[in-house]
Amino acid sequence: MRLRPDFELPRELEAVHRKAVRLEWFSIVYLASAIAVLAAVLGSSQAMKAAWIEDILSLLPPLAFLVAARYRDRPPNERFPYGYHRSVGVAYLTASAALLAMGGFILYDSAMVLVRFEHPSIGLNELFGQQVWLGWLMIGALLYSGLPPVLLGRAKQRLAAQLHDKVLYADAEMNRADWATAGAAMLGVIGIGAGFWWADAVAAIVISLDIVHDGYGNVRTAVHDLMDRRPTTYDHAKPLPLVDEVEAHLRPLPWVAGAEVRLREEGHVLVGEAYVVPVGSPGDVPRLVERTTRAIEDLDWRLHDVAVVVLPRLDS
Amino acid sequence: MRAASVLAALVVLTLPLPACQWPRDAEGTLDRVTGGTLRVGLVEAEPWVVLDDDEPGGVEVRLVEELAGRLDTQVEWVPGSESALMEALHVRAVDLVVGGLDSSAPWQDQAALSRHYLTTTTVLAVPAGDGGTTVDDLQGRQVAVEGGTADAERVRTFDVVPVPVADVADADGPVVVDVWRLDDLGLRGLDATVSTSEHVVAVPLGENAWQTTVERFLLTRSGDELGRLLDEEQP
Repeated sequence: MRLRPDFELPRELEAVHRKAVRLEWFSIVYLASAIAVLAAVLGSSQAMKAAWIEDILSLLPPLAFLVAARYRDRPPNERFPYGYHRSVGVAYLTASAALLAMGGFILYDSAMVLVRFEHPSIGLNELFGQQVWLGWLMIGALLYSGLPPVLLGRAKQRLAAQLHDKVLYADAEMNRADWATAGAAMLGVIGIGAGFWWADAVAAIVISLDIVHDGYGNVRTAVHDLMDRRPTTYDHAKPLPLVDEVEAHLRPLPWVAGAEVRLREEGHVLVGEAYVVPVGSPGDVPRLVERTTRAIEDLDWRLHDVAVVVLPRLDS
Repeated sequence: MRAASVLAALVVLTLPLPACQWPRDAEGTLDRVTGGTLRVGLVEAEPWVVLDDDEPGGVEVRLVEELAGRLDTQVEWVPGSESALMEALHVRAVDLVVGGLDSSAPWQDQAALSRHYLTTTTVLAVPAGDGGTTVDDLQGRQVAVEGGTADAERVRTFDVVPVPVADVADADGPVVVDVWRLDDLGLRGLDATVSTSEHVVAVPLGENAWQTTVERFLLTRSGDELGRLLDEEQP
């Protein structure tokens, strides 16, 4: 059996990747503290519960990233001759599906609160021997859980662009939207304090819609990635121009009469086939194929294990 | 765009609020009760609510009477079972339910349980004259404990043999008893907590001003005052 060659990030990106790993570890520690702080003041507010669950769910992308970071280096072996790049996609799909399911649950739960006319209450708590309305503590906790992620998200987005990492990008997007969740939950808490019993459930519904939206978008992307759709930029905004670039590299080669390229994404790397029709008397074809294969991989660090296939003609 | 709309909603929500009352009630219970009538559900639970005589008594009844005095309110007592009163609270047929409720009571969907205003514990205790007795010395020995209570089973974790009695005040030797009764019964508590109870009262859901008023009243009761009220209820 022939195993796929090992893949290594370029040296300068190794440093970027290590930075991303550190940032994700930091995220997990910070999120754990935010989850604990919110849990301490949860009360009976539906919106607080939604914000809390969203914080718990935002642990998933960093975890998926770190799991993938651990597996990404594993060389291909007899059992997995294509290596472990797809583990990223599996982790990503699992995390997104959890997000979608949880969003749906909170949506249902909050809608039922409205339907049943359930009135949430926020009473007093004691802090250093003083009686404090628990709502103020909730708002403090929400500020702590809502503001730092915005900065974290920005930093992650920069790294995601450099690494072309979609899990990191999804994580950054969730972090960047966190302030909106915290803001909605604050409105819910203030709504309860103002005697508008429905405000809390409405805020929770808004938050859950946001989670459902995130979850749906991520499940879609994860499924598309696993189905080998055309490679896109890290933010899924547009098709990656690399297919055209490889074709543009092949066609002017003296031994090439025609060329077509097909690529797919596996985590960080792009793999696929380059179909080449040689000119009338190309010379030493095996050697030319070998040299061309290496030249393709030198075009971009992401191109890895692109097979050059020699054909008598290109169909279609 | 989203930031702007959230901020706008925040301003719109908070602007019309008068500065005087925060948080506010969803159904205006505090305003109705103040200078009006307070309907209080009573669950019989000595020493918190005692319904032996025509007039209710007990620690929590006394507390409610004091609160009512401050709010210039007539109290209307409504004795009933815990289930019936919680349902009444849910539909706002009463404004407050008292009766030895514990913070772990499963009524979260029907009522708002207050912050606990008092924590009581039961301990293993020996007569005060019983010099150096420790928990270890009680292993395998008989201990008097009020029959039919959870403590009667829980105390087995200390490897003692529980003996159910009607009132531990009549028992000789080691007993399981509330810490607040130790002095009166001439007992010495050991370093062995059998159970802990966080005492709460229940108010209707969504009545934040009323709830915080009740909570603030209860939380500012001094330990001495609660101790005195408990002592008055000694059998």
